[in-house]
Amino acid sequence: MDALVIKNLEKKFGDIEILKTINLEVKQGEFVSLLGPSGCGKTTTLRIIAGLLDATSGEVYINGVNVADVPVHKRNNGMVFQNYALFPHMTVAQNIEYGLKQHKISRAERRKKVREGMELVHLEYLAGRYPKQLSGGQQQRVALARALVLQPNLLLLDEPLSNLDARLREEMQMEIRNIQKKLNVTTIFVTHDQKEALSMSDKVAVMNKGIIEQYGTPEELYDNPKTEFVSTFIGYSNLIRGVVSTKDEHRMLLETNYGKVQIPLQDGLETGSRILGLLRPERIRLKKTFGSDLNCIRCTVIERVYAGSSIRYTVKTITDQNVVVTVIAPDESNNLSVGEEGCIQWLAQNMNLIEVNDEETD
Amino acid sequence: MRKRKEKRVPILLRIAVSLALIYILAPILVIIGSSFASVANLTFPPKGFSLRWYQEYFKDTGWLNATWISIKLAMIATACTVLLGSLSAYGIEKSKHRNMWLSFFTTPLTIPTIISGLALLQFYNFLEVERNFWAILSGHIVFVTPFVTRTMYTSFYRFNHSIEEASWVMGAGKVKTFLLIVLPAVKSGLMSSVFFAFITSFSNLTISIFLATGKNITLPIKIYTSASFDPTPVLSAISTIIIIITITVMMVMKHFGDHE
Repeated sequence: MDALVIKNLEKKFGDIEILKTINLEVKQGEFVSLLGPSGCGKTTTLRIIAGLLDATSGEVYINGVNVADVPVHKRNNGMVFQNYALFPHMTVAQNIEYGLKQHKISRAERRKKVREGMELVHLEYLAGRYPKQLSGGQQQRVALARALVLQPNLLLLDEPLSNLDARLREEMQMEIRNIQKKLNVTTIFVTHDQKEALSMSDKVAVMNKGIIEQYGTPEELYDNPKTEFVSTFIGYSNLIRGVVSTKDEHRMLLETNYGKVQIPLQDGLETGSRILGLLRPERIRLKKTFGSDLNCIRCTVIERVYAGSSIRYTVKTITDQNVVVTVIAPDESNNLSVGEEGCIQWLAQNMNLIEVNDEETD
Repeated sequence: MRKRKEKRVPILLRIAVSLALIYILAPILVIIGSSFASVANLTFPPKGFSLRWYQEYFKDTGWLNATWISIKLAMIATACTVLLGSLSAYGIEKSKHRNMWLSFFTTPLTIPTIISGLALLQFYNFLEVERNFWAILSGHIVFVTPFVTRTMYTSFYRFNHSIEEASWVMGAGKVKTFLLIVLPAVKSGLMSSVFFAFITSFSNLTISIFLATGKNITLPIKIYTSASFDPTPVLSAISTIIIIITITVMMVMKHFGDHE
C-alpha cells in the first residue's frame, strides 16, 4: 500500500488557481521532493497533506485512509518548518516531549523517547537550553527530532534548509537523508533548490504553475526530461526547435534552428510535426575537425570557461544560435580557443524530442 | 544589567531632560510631600511630619468602601476585558479583513469618554436599568475592552504563527494549542493588558460619575468630590498609596518581562 496518494487535488484562493489537478503516489519509506520555483504550489500541496489547508477538490490518502475529514492534529504527521517553529518558552527536551504528551504517552516512555530523539540528532548536551540559545543548525536538528519522535506517518519538510549557510546545508542534507533511511520514514520534502532535490531524493516531482510537470527518479528527470520546463529547471539544456521536413523508412530529416539534423524514425512524428529537442551540454561532442560528417554542425567558439576536469564552451552555430557545450576530460582534439572554428555533434538518443502543439505559444 | 559604553551626553540635553522630568514629576512630589504634613490644609512645602492622614484614611469607612468598590470593579473589569479583548484580537488577527474588524472593534477609542459616559447613562435610563455596581462594571467593560483588543492584536500580529501550526501537527487541538503555546507566546502583551486594564478601570472617573449612585461611590469619584468640597491631606495620602502600588506593580512586571 502506498504511504501517500494524492488524487486530482485542486486548490483555489478566490479566483486564483494555485493547484490544478495534482496526482502523486509515494511508497512507504520513500523520500520525495516537491521541487519548483516559488509560487508553483509546492508548499500549498504540503500544507494540504498536513491538514493545515483544505483542498478545493480532490483526495489525499495517507496509508490508504482518505484524510478529508481527519483534522490536522489527528493525522500524526511530523513537520519541520522553514523557520523551525520551536516553542520559545520550552527547553529543547520540552520541545521534543510536547508531541509525545499530546499523544498521551506515559512519562517513562516519553523520557526514553526524548533521549533517543536527542541522540538521533546528536543534541543530548543541549537538553536544558532554550531555542534562542541555539544556532540555526541546532534549532533545525531539534525541529527534526521533535517531528521524528512521534513516529509519524509522513515526515513533511517545508524548505527546512533554506535559512542555513551553504556548508551547514550540505551537512544537514546528508544527515536528514541518513536519518530518514535509518528510520525508513516516508518523507515529503519541499524545496526550490534542484541540486538539493536531486541529491537527496528517491523521487522528485517537478512542479510549475500548479501542476506536476514530471514525477520520477532524479536520473529520469535529468536524462529524460519530458517538458521544456523540466529540462531547463533541472540542470541546463540546449533547446533545438524545428520541423520534420522529410521522412523515409529509416530516417527523418529535421530542419532546426541549428541546421539540418538527421535522426532515426520516431513514433508519433510525421512530416510537418513541430519538435523541441533538449540537449544537455555534456552530451554534445565538440571537435576541431569538420569533414562532410552527417549531423556535424559547424560553429565558432565565443566563450571558454576552463574548470580543470572540464571546459565549458559557448559556441555560435552558423545559423547564429548559441549552444553550451561541456567537454569532460578535454584533450588535444577538443581543446579549442575562443574564435576557433569547430563542429558539434551528438548521438540521436541523447537528444530528447518533444512534439510541440501549435496552440502552446508560451 | 547590561554594560553600556559610557557616552558623553551633551550638557544642554541633560538640562533639557532634567527640566522636563521636574515638570512632569513636580506635582507628584508635592502630593507625596503634603501627605506627610502635620497640618490640616493642603500646603507646600509641608509643615511638620506625621502619618495621621494615612491613619485617617484607614479609619474612615467612607474612603475604605470607595476603595474596595474601585478594586472590585477594576478586578472584575480586568478579568472580563482581558478575556474579551484577547479573544476578539485573536479572531480579528485570523480573519480575512483584519483591518476592517480592528477598526470596528476599537471604534469606542475614538469617542470622547465623557460622551460615552453620557450615552451609557441615557441608554440605561431608556432600558430602565438600575444604576448599580453592575451598571458601572458594564460601562467599564465597554470602555476598557478596546484598549485590550488593540494591545493584544499587536501581540498576535507579531506572533510567529508556524509555532501554532507546529503544535497542531504534533497532535494538540486548537484549544490546547491556544492555552499551551499561543498564550505563553503573547505573555508580555497579556501582562501589559492586565496592568493597563486594571489601571484604566481603577482610575476611571468620567464613565463612573454618570453611572454611580450614593451607594456605589468609586474612589476616583470620592477623590474628585472631596477635592472640590472638602480638600484634606487624606487625598494626598491616598494618592501616595496609589502611586506606590502602581510603581511596585510596574517593577514586578518588568522583572518578569526581563525573563522572557
